[in-house]
Amino acid sequence: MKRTLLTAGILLATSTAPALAYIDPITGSIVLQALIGGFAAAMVAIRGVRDRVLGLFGLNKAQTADDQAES
Amino acid sequence: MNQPVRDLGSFRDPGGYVFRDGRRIVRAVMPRAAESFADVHDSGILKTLSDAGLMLPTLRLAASAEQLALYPGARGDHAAALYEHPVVPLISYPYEWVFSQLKEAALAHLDAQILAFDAGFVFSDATAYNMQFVGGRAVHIDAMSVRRYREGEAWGGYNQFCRQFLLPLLIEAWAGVGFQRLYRGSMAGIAFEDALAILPRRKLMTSMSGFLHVWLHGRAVIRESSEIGRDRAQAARLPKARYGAILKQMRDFVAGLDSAKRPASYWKTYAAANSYSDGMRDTKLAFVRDWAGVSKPGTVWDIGGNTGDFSLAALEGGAERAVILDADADSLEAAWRTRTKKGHPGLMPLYMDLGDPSPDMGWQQRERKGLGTRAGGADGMVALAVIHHMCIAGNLPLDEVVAWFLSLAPTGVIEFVPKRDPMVQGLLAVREDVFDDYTTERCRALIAAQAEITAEHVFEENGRTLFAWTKK
Repeated sequence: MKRTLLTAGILLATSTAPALAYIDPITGSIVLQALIGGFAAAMVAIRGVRDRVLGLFGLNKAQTADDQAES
Repeated sequence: MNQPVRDLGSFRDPGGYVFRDGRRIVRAVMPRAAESFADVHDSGILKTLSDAGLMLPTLRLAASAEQLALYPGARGDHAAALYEHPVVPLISYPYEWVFSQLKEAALAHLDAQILAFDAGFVFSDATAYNMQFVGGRAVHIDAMSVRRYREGEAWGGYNQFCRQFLLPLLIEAWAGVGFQRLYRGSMAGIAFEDALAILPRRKLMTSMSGFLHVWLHGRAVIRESSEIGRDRAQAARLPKARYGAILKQMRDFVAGLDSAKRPASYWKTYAAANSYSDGMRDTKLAFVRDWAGVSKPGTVWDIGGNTGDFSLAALEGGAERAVILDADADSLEAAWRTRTKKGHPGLMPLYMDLGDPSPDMGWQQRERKGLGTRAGGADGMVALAVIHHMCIAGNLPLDEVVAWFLSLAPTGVIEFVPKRDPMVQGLLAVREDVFDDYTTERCRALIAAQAEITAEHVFEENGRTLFAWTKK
């Protein structure tokens, strides 16, 4: 709460420019990567297993995991 | 000896700058980066990347102190070392590419990153402007983006990759929105705020990749303030395996994207639906082929080139490369998929509204070159079945259109489509005929004022006229 108020204060004090100009877009991207990286590692691993299993039955298409997941 | 000239788009990285030295491209590395870049170069990773066709080759040049002094940086320093890269025949920008081109550039970027990562190197950024097309393939052009991996670091280019590759691809693949016009609006790429508003929520919530890279990532980018985030960013450590997993998973995600099914554009079927006969078509193709055979141009610009029929004729005639400039993304997509990638690597489709071409943009409006600034790269131009669209549909004066055509290249082919042609009749049916200046005679006189007309062919069936010309 304190931090939010502090941020709001900074934004208000410098509000001659659009508020977004004071937000560093890279920071959020960096902080989040540990989380996203965990999911990504799991997804890559699942795909690897799936490819191997399909490969056993000769069903391994040259297609990506997401190709099927998204469709 | 010519004084080397720093590329006006090369200034952001204080470690080095790109210079044009006559016909050569030289990378001047500044003292602050000389040691680290030499380490990267000597490690062999740049050669590994270029051997894989993912990056332009880099050659170290022996340079004396006098030569180094010819390469001043943008920050009061001078080069400490020189390297050379091959020349890219045509510089193009992501807002001029179609979906398949941007996707290929994204995959090549990720392939380069994955190859480098497995060898202990990372890319310091992920800008789409570092990707260029050479011989129908996407390659990375900035060797100085490569540096050694530091234990625990996160992917510094993640945000940039999303904004400049992933989000534009997604708004087309998932929402059917062509990305080019939005992309041209900002050098930084598509904003997360815009993408979150455009992309279907159903997709973002049902695709794990969409949820992570767009929804979650986008919310974090929009909400995190630098005051709160910087401490956390410095404290954040990304295990090496997760860094590699993000790259590989992103590659899987991008590889599975395809452009959404949009209604087929009129122009894509234009070549089959146009008003003229097969005989006339063959004559036009032969006319362009003959012109290219005589003038042997290196690069031909095909104005309003559609799916590239006449570009192909120019290539068959002896041109080395042909660039299709057209504002119909579907036609360009068809040209890329069925021609460039199927045996015609010299054919480069480029998204361009001829009445509103790419402007000079970026810092001091010199960072990204507009179409006119790049026109020196054309050795020949063809403009077939396009002049009536510009003059009648676009209300552009014939004098200015012809002058613009002639300004593009030293030689070319122009087709004039007179008012009695059925296509022009169609255009005039819905507008008042205020085009008194639009005549074959005037077109011929305008060309002849600046150039020698080397060949002319009139089609009796509709009065269309082909002019081959070479500037005096």
